[in-house]
Amino acid sequence: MATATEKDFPFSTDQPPSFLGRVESESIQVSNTKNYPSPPRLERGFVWTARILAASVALLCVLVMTGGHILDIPLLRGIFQPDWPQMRPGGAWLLMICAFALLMRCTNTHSRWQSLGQNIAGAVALLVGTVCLDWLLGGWLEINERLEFSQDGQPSLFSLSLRPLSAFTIGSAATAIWLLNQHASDKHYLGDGLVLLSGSVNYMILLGYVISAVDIPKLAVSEHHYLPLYTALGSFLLVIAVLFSRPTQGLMVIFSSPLQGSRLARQWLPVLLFLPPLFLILDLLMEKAGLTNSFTGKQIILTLQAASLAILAMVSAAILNRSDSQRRKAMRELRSAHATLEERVRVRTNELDNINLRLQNEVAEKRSLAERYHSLLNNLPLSVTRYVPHPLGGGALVEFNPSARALFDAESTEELLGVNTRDLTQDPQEEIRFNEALAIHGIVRGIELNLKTLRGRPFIAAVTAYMIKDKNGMVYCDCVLEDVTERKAAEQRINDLNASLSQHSAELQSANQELEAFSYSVSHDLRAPLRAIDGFSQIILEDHSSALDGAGQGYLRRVRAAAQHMSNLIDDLLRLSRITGSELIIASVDLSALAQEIVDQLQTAEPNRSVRFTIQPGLTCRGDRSMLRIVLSNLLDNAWKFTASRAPAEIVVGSATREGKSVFYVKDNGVGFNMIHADKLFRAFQRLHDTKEFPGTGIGLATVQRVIHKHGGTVWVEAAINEGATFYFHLPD
Amino acid sequence: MNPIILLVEDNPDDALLTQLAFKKSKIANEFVTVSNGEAALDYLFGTGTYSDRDISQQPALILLDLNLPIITGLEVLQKIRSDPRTAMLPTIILTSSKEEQDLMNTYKSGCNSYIRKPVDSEQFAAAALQLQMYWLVLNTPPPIGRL
Repeated sequence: MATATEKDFPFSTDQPPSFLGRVESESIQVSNTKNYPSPPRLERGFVWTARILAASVALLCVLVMTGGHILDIPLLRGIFQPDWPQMRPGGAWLLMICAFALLMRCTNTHSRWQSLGQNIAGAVALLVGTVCLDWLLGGWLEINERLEFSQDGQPSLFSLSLRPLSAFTIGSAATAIWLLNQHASDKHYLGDGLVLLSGSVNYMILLGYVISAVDIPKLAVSEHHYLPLYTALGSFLLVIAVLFSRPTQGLMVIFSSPLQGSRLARQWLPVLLFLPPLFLILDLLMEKAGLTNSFTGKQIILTLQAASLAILAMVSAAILNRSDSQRRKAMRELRSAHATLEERVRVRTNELDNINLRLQNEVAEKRSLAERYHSLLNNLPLSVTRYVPHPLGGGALVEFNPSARALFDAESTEELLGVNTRDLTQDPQEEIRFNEALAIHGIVRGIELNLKTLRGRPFIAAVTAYMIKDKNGMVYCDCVLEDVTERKAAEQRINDLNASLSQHSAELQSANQELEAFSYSVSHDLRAPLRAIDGFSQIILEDHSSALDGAGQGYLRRVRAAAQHMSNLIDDLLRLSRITGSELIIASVDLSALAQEIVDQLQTAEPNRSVRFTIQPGLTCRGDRSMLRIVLSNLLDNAWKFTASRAPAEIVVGSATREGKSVFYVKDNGVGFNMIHADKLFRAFQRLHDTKEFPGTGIGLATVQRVIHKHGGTVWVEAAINEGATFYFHLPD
Repeated sequence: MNPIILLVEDNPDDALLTQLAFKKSKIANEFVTVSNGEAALDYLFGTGTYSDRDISQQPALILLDLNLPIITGLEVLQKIRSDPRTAMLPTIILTSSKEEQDLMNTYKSGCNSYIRKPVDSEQFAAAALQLQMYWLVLNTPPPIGRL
């Protein structure tokens, strides 16, 4: 049988610090068996054994009484050999009673049998105790005599007298039974002690009977037998039954636990109890057979006993070693598992820390995101709401931002929460239509609804709504509302203004038309008398010149000239007024071609004059062609007029850049004028030259300016006396 | 028979001037002046004050002013053109109007010519001579069919 050494199982007490705490090293302690309660089956086995033993003892007593004393069979009184003492009736009675008491106490429930048994045992103990006392006092009380109950000097069946030692053993058993307690854990030491003591005494007596039975004559002395056989046997068995009856308390704990040691004890103790008697018997037999003498016999049995004890020890050690090695192995495995677990826990904790950190970051991010969106929503001056539509109409407001709260005149969130949207609309039909549209299309944009606040104030809102369904199947409508009451009022005002504006423009137009008609008819009517003035003056000059002298004719010629001038004025004024009233027809105008036309006309009208014209080709602009013709015509007319005295007369039409803008110009090398008077130039009838020298109405430039201004452009002039003039004009695109 | 020139002009000065201008050309003609549209139509159709006129003798030239009282020159023109007796008579609009609309309307209504009266009398005389030369001499008058 291999024995394990300490070296194979280093049991170091230096353990690394761990998360789980130190692994406790177990030391074998008796008290630890408390942690391993006996299995119920074992316990029951013990208790039943106790019952059987008690019953056997009771049966034995009955046999002794009936067979031994009544039927007078010596064997049944314990007399196997003539000098063996017999079991008295007293002993049999009391032992039987004790056995019954024990049986009563062996019931599981805390019933009256228990207390009855206890009481009976107590009575017996008391009785026996007095007997012992009496014996100690030398028979002074004569208890034994009293207990004889003898009639006429004959021994009675019902006598309770006892031998001293019987009293002791039976009394111990009774006391032990009396002391039996199912629950208390401290009194059993007393009982255990009594049991051990009387048990040992009984054992000794029984050994004596064994020796006697082997029938070695020199030992057969009756004084050695202090107890009757059956008494000794009975009380021995009874105290064993007492021990067995409470296997979980006191001494028996060692035998009743499921641990290895208890098993060993259970297996070996009977052997230990009966092996020495066997060796003794062997020795006696060998002596009787003459094989050995008593000295050698003792040697032999002692050696045998030593050997058997050694064998027992070794077997026990082997068993214990196995269990111990298993334990150590288990401990090692536990330790390594523990270490592995620790390592895993460490790794896992690291992982968890990382995950935790990441999660914290995510949470922080999400929270900041949520806060951003939250603040976005809360700070929006636009109302954002969410409501759950009812299938039968209306809907409950479940979410909204502070803007919405203010929009609906709610004083608190609770006031607006859960409000039915139908209560917020002025016309329920409108609300129904809106919800229908939303349900059909899933989204509506910019629908104008007539709503009212919680205080009943009506307003118009532009609503954009979106219907969504979340993963639980709940349908929500998310809306953005804007109070457009003011905007609509403004729109209305604009519409009204537009209406009045168009009315005004219609009025203006009609006024303009009236003016035009008026100026037309006026010029028309003004011209008729002019014709008369001119015509008749001419006729007088032609046909009646004889009636007039030279001066008179001269006056008439002046009259004609004046009439002519007036006609020109009327024409120019009419043209000027027409320009104001008419609308521009904007198109792309080729100024170069236009200038060339006018130049050709001028040249044709006065073929004698030689003027050098330079017209830059490709001059284009955007404007009203006929009006621009008037402009160029006037400017070229002027240039033509004021270069009359020049030879060669030069007139240039071109384009240039002034202040980053492109401008057109008509330049001449005529007489020019003083720039000081330039601002008067464009006024109607303003002339800076003598009419005699340079005839003209003085309206031409006013007309030019009016046309250019009507196009949104600008016109100006640069000139100097005797250095000609350059008229610039700019037209916007 | 001298060709008849019918002048429809309400302004007496203008009428006189026109007459004098036409007289200058020395082309023989009979110058008739009426001062309003109704009289002109009476003359042409032989009604009213002219009911005893022989309307087989129609003017070779009608000079029609547009600014007439009661009936406008345009209406007179339209009446002239709508009656078969006078539909083919050469009618010249003689007016001071430069209005595009007048131009359009009169030409649409079938005038033969549109002349703007110049203020300058010399020009006017020259124009009158041209008119006479063209319409009375050069032009072949329309055949006045039997009614």
